[in-house]
Amino acid sequence: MYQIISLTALLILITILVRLYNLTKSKRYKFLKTLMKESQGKFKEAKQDYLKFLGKTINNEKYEDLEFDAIMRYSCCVLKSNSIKEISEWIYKYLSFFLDAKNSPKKDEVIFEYVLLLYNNKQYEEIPRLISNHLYKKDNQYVKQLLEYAKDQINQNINRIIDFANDNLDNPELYFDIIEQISKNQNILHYSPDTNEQLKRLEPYLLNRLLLKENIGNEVLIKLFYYLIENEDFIQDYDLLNNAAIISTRIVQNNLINAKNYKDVISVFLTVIFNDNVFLKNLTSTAWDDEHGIYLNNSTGFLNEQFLAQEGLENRTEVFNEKCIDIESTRSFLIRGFESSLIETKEYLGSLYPEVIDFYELEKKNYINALSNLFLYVNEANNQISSTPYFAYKFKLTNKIFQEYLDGEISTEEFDAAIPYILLQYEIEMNELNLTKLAYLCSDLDGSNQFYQRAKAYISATYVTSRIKNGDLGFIKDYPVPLKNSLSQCLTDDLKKIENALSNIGANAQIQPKDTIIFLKTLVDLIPQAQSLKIMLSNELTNDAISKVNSKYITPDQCLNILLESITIHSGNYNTQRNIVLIVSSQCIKMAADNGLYKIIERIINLIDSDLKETLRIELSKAEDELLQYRGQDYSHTKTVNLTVYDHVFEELRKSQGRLLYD
Amino acid sequence: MINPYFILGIHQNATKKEIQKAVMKLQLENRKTKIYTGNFIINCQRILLDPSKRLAADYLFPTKLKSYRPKKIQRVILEGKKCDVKNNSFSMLKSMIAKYEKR
Repeated sequence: MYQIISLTALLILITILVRLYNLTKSKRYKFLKTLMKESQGKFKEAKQDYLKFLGKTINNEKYEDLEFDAIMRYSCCVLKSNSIKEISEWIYKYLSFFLDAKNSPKKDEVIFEYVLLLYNNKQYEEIPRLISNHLYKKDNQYVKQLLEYAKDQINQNINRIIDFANDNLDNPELYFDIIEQISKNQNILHYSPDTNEQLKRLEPYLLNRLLLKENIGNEVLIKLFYYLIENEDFIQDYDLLNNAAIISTRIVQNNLINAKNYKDVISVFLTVIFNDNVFLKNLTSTAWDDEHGIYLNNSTGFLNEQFLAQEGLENRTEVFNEKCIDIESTRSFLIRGFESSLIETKEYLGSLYPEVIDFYELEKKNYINALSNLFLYVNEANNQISSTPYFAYKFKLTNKIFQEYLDGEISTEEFDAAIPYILLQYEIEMNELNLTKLAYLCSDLDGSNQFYQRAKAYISATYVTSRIKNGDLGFIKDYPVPLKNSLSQCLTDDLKKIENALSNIGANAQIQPKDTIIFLKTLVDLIPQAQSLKIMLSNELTNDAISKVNSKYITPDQCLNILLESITIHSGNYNTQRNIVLIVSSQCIKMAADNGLYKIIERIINLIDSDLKETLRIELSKAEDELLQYRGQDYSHTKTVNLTVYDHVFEELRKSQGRLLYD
Repeated sequence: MINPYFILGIHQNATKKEIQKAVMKLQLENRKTKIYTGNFIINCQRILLDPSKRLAADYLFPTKLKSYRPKKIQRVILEGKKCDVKNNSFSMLKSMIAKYEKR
């Protein structure tokens, strides 16, 4: 009995031991043990254990449940491990596996850990996509957790920023660091709309502190200027415009302009100062001038009457008296101050100084021209501001400005004013315009639009005439061939300008006749229908040929060839006709005299008109002299001379011209 | 461009008398400190006594933007129940263990 009991106990013990042994050998048990290690934060050990469950490679289709769990847990451990090397290896090897895996919601935790990792490392760009593609389901616990976590983090940041801002009231240089932090946080604001309100409040609060501070660091001043002008409401917000103009005066005054910012600084100042609407907005806050009226009739600035009504500027006056403040003299005072500050930068700017001054002068000149010719007609209902050409280009206002003009009639003055704006729209300045840029401009301006068509013609003609005036005529033959038609059209449209410039060409001693001929030939090729250019070319050719033959630089035969080319270009060229007759006749006479055929000489002389007769007689006497010199006194012999060639020339000329001298 | 208000240390709504008083005060101080030239101080006075020039000086004061003092955010929900994602992330693990134990 005792033996049976002990045998049974032994059997039970063996069974237990076997079960226990089996249990310890079970994968699931091992997995559970590893999970416990992970939950205790022993990530290093847990990772090693999980790896033992994995096969050699991960294949999306062939894995068991346990293997998938092991990959998942391993991944979570890696993502929590803070080891950059391990994490980057994991991303490279396994991230796509989880992104492609269909085994949801198991993969959710890995994606969640990955999103968390990105968030904590401020890599916000990928997060919304990962959440919407992989985690976004109704009531997904991970999304909820993430939102709460993100919101809490933002709130903590905001509180830190507010504390920081309040602790550093006397240190405005730090404000831009704060504003930078705000903009970084704005990437994730859609997770926490409540916080948005606080951020919106914080920004103008800090900006005000910066603006109202008398002395702020140079670097901050530049940052502040760009912060103001890069604000999305800059063009519409008169306060931002005014503040930017004020900061620009300080930038110039503190010698902070440089090659990078001088165009922005100058154009912002000029734009704001000549917009009465904007300018006056800043002048309504004081009480000392309440008794004074503001006199606007003398103003050269852009004024929007609707704005005046809105702002309640009741103290503006139509009649000037001693109680009036002339807005124009206030503006002039500010401009003089700005200009004298600009002049004081001469030493500091060095070689850049002339460029800055040129830009200022040009920008101001073009703007004032536009104010009196262009902006007068801008529709006030649009409530838009006038601007300098560079400002219009920088803030993409050019198309808005010209909207009014696109299909209307345009005067030359308006065009003159509009051109700098159009050129700058294409990032070109008139003095930098070359053929390639002109070709680009011509091909890009809208072909169907009347305004741009005129502008295109105007710019092309202005460019060509400016080159003519500078004595540079060879440029035109380099015109890009594919765009020849475009330029041809432009030049045809504004031919008068070119003709005027060309009429002065002779006065320019620097221009060689050879250059003029090449230039005119190219121009005639570009504008074949321009009769005036043909006449000019024909005259130039004839004059050049005659002067060369007179100075015996070319032979009469060569001269005749050039004259025939000239008469082909312009058949009615009287001067060319006369010279052809003269040369052909003199050659015939010479030949006749050479052979003693005096009757033929008589015939030729009778053929040509009276004013040429004298010249021919001189030629004849020259021929006779030569004949006497070479042949002595013997006139008795007669030879038949073949005059067919000359007769043929006369005949041809008679046919083609119809109005040759001897007809 | 100088801002005469800053130089004379007066506010934008200063009366003629206040301006003249500030000029005299600065001139007295300047005798000791010699920071400015006499003409410079007189020029500041001229600007502020000429309405159109004074308006130009006024222009140099930036406009205050509309703003409210931001308030610190009360972390009401989170103060009591601290958001700890690391701990919460084991919810899946816990459910797996429970599942296994049931089996």
